[in-house]
Amino acid sequence: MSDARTNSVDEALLALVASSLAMWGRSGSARQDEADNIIVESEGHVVRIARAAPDVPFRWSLTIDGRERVASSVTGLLRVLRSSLDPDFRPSRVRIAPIEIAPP
Amino acid sequence: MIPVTVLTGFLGSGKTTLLARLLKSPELARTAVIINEFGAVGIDHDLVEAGEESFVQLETGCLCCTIRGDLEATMADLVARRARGAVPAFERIVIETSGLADPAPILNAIMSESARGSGLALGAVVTTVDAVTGLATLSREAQSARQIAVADRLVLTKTDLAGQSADLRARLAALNPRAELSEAIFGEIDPAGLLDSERNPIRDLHVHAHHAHSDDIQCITICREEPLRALTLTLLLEALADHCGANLLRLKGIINIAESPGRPAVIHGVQHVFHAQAWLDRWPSADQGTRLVMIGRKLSEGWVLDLIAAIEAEIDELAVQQTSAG
Repeated sequence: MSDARTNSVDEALLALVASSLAMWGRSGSARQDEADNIIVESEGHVVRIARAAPDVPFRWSLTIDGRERVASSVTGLLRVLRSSLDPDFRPSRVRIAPIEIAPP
Repeated sequence: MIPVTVLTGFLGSGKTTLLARLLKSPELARTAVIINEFGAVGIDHDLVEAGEESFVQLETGCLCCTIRGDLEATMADLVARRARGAVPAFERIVIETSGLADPAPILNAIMSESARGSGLALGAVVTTVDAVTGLATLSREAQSARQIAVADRLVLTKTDLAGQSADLRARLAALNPRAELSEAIFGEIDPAGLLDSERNPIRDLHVHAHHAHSDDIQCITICREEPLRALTLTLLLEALADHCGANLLRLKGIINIAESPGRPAVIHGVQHVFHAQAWLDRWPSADQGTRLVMIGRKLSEGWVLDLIAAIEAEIDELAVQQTSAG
């Protein structure tokens, strides 16, 4: 994996987390630290978003007020993050079936 | 006189699907359709395939907000073009309103002196009601109740997803006991008589054009030329269901799927319910870009664009990792 690719995901994720806070109506900020983790500070909560170790079956690790949770994708990460910050959030119980690639 | 039928119903209740099916029936040949969409970019007209003797005209913006001028002018223009042979000799006009439109001023425009002078007369008012979300929509959206209250015929859609809907039927009967109630499954319904003209004494009363959209309802449109991967679309819809939920009143789109060049996917969603995508045989116009329209509350175009960018970056990264590992 090239550094350029890694940077692309990190930058896109930072932008997404920042705009998500605004859309969810949560005050706070998101920034990147020296180790390229994303640090979210919002309404008394601190969340550190880091890439998971390469030998585990998920991609993201979120440390939320000292407790660790994991996510396997950017969209899963977003769900975990909002669940941690917004006590009223109820993620959809509906999962979207993969789009059929070949038209019938 | 040329009858003008109004097809209304709240966002996502199946108006366009019903219209598309009706226009394929021989009984409704020679129909001029006026489609009105809320938002600057219309796509419903691409989803309705008119026969050789019928045609579709698109108006964007809210029909009920500009009604007396724009709709009367559009109808008069259609009649004039018909008279000089510039358009097929239609025998009826169907107006599909925006899902947010108050039907009252539209009916007033059709019954105006100007419209009568053009040889037009109000036909049936047909209102579609979503059997899945209709009850919740009625309790939340005053416009939905207005659309039901003025109907000659109510068409309950998506009954295949919602069972008997006894509570909804009772509510419809209380709101409009005069209206005939029928069901459409995937837009299939007996077209005979559905759009026929019939006098309605309540409708003939002059209805004041007082109406307002909820100020917080907004429409955002995502347009892009570059195809979208099927996986990106799946993850995008899942995130929209998670984070927009009931605030997403309506989602519709024509999507250029990277894995299916030449055959666009059509997607529909209402609140948390997303329907399986349909595939068009070909692009309906020269525009082969993705157009995704979302209507609702607390939506953010910037957030959707950031979401797509992050999903695509992650999929790109995974593809590189798999290539390196393989």
